[in-house]
Amino acid sequence: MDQENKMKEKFLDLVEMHQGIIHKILSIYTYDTEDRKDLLQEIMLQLWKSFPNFLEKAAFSTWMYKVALNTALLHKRKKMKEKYTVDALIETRAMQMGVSKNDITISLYMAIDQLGPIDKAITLLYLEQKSYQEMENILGMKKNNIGVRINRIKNKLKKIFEYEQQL
Amino acid sequence: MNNNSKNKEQEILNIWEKAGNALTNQQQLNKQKMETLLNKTSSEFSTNQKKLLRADAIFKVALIFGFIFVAAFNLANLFVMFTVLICIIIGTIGIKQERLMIDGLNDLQEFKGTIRNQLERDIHFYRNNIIRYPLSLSLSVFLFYILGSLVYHDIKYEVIRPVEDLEDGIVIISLLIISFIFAFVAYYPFFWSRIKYLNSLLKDIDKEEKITNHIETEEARKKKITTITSILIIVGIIVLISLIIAFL
Repeated sequence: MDQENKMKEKFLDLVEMHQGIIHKILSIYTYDTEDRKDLLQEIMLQLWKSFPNFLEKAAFSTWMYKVALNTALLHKRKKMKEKYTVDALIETRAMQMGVSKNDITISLYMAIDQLGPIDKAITLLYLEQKSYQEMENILGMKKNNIGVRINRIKNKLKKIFEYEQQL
Repeated sequence: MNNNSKNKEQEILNIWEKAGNALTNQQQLNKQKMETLLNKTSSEFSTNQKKLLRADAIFKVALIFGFIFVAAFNLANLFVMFTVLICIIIGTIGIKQERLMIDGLNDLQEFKGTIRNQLERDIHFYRNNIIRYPLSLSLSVFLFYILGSLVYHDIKYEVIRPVEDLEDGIVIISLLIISFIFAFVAYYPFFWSRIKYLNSLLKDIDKEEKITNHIETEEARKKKITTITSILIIVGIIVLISLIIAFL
């Protein structure tokens, strides 16, 4: 019992320290508060269930990216396009970020919203400035394939981003 | 041109970092809040399936007790004893299969390896159980029908006899088959849709590589399963039509 408490304490300390990862994942995979709460809960539960498998020699943040991204990918989301109009989505995003609707941050998030679930994961890791090796360790994709994919995403994002800013 | 592009990229990285920090500060999680989240129940697919399998296993246990109860009142009736024995064996096999699936789902919930590895593990599990899952759950409907018929005959006629009239026999067996097929078809999409979604993610990860053998095998398997399901539906419809003709 004491050992379990110690493990829980250690787990909570580590999650608290790296909680930014969770918030960033939530910000690109969810669109409203309700969905956000659901996914946050699932990520926390999944992290805790998988914690006994966490190997100390690996970086906690890398392990956390793996589990949290996997949970986000498998989480049953509400389809944002069916639920929101673009304007409503911009408004929700602006409220979430605490910025104005015309802020460049909104354009960036709106551009990421247009990507598929795997592309979103790659984009997140890229924006987090993870090396290709770390991305390979997290996603299980080969480094050279990640490079090709990132170039493709960059071009796609560039077009969307420029279009968003023109609006 | 190159410098301009690098500057733009750096600008985006800065926006991302700033937004991330703002989000973290805004939605700060403290230990107490995290502990509350850990005490809640998951609503994920695998957890829901585990709940369903557990509930069905309990239902099967109840049905087995029901069969034992019927047998206790008909110890001298060989027909009843034989039927009960077969049903208990079927029920026990069903429970065993459900336990295996629950263990498999428990194992899946522990993240191992990379996201790709985990997706492959998930697909492997759901693919291996795509028939076992609806089959085990449908057995409950099958056993419930038999138990209901035995109890009905015992109460109404005070004796349970094998069906003597051929037409009655056809009707009973046909209804049994139809109810089983309907239950099977109703449960089948659960794992099927999950595999479809997981496959789409894996395909997305594999986009840059040539289509793997894994996906080809999966497609061949899909065809096989669709054929089996179609045959089951056709058999069900034929039995239903024969019944209608027999009654007319």
